[in-house]
Amino acid sequence: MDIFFQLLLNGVVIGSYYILIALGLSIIFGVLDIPHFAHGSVAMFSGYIAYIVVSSYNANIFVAIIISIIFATIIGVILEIVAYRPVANAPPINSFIIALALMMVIDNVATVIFGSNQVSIKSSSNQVFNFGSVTLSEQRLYLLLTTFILVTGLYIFMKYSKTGKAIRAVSQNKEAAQIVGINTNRISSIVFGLGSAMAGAAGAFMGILFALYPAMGGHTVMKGFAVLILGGLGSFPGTIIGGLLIGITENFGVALLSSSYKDLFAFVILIIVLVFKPSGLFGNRGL
Amino acid sequence: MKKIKIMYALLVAGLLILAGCSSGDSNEILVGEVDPLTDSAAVYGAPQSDALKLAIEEINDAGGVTVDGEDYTFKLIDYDDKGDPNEAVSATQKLIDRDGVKYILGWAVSASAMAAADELGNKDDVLMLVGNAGAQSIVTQGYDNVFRTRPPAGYTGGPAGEFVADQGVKKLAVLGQLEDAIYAEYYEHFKESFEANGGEIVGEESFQLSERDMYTQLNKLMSKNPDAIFVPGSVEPAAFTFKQLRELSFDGDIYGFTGGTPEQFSEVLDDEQMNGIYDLRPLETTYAAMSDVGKDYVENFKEKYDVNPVPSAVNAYDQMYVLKTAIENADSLEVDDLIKEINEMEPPKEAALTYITIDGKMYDPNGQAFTTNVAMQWEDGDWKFLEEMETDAEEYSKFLTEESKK
Repeated sequence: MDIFFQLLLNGVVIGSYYILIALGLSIIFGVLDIPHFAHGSVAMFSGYIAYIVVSSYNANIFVAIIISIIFATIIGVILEIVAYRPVANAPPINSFIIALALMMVIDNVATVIFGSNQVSIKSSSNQVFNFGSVTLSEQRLYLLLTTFILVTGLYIFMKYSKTGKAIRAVSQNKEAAQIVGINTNRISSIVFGLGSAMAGAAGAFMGILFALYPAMGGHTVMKGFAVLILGGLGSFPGTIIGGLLIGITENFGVALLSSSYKDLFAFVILIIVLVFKPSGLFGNRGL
Repeated sequence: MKKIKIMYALLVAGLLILAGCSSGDSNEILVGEVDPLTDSAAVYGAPQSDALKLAIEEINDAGGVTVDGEDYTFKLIDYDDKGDPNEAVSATQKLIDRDGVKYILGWAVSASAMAAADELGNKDDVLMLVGNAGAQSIVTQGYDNVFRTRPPAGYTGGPAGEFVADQGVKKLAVLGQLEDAIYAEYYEHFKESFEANGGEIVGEESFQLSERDMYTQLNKLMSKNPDAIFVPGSVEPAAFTFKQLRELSFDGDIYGFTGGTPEQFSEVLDDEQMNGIYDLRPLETTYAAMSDVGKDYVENFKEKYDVNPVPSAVNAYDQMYVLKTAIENADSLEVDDLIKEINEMEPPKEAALTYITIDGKMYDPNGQAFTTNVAMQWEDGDWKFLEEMETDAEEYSKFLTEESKK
């Protein structure tokens, strides 16, 4: 029974990481209908910034996480203005191709700058907490807390702030939002900034808990899309439940079968859910 | 007149092709290399490539080789196979068909080396000198033109199992890259030897090369209360396994078969987290146990690349000197002559590793060379040489011969 709770906790921790990745994708796709395939690459690149901040300047990991979030936000806004905005009114295939191209460009730039070897952000936060026989490391606890804070903050922002309401208005009807005076270009930039901020946090934690390497962007974004589709495109609660479900399923799958099928578990559960609920668990509920 | 012109053109074209086949310039011997220079396996492939370049630079700086009174230098043409067997086979074909290469070195990854050996095996015009790839089957297919410096993984696994049992470990859990040939073969011999010496394997779990989160497997294994954990796998996932074992407060001994350098582990773990961890591996660049030539290799590598050589990279370095020595001794560039020479040769005097000879020869009848096996332990930021593990090269050579008959 102890191992059950330990596996459940492991799944929730990994699920939290998936939530950070998928939530950014979710608001970008939910509001702007852009399949931002470079999202994982933004996470990777920001993670490297956190790595440099820690390894070169001996910064605290919280400082590194904040810098990573700021960096990702700026990159997200720049990508929206430079790459996506010019094709905002073009057929969807254009933004699809641009997203793929951006992913390749960012990954290759990262390889040139950082090399192809993995790096890991070393932290002095190595304490371990024991709850009975269930163990949680300090770094994993920080991931859980950060995800909770960012998800709650994003939810409150979207629900109650004027900008959040404007974002929701754009997601429901872009033309109508423009008619009532909402600056949709500004909203697009804010959405990319917010979504990429989540990726910045995810990238920093990827480096703290595991490793960063230039090729990780593609794998990361694929898992993010799996969570997004499982939860329901653009659904806030769906993304959270989807992330946790995939994290937990993967961990129990590895424990019961083999780690060879780790990625398979996510997609098997995705297919099963889509068979019964084609629009995902919380499809069409909006932000 | 027209016919003569055509004949002349064909003759020139033929001569150009022939020239291309034997060398780049008239006094250059082309050496091919296939290795993973990017992607996950580059942690082994890129340093091996550096070691090969170092050997070529040393040989060329010392005047190259003389064949039939003519002086030659070596020129390397390297291809990145990304650790993918399909890419390795295409790179091999490119080297032979397009570049006209007859000697192919490198081979850091077993799957790539096996695929290429199946393609090249027994070809009388290509010589394959394998470096780091450790899967047994590379030398048990009966290919006459394939030679390998790195001992097969199983050769180290047996003594390692005995070593762990001798440390008083009774209940051992195993988490490793057990689906990859090199680690599976190591573990097969390890397990047999560990159990024969009174040990019990209480749990086995695996991870993939790209995996970094081992919590689930470790939680499962730790629930079986092992005395120690054994981690055979590539340095990157192994480093994360060690780190997570420390996070989970595992208080037993940790053994590994990784061949990782201090720099590679230091990217992931603190010195304190690494302290006490064992690595059970072939001699490779175990500095304290190396000859003076071997120590020179380590120093020269550090001077050229400003980093310690990955232990396994030396296998390709020595293969380059095998090629050079064989060419000099045979006074020929023909593959047939070189195969005969390599089969009879003693280890080259420039070889960085100390080889256990079989009947006075560097390679056994399967084309396999042997070194000793060593136990290392991490202490104060580096691997410290503990002891040589008891090893019987002749016995293992007989085992390989039996396997090749199957």
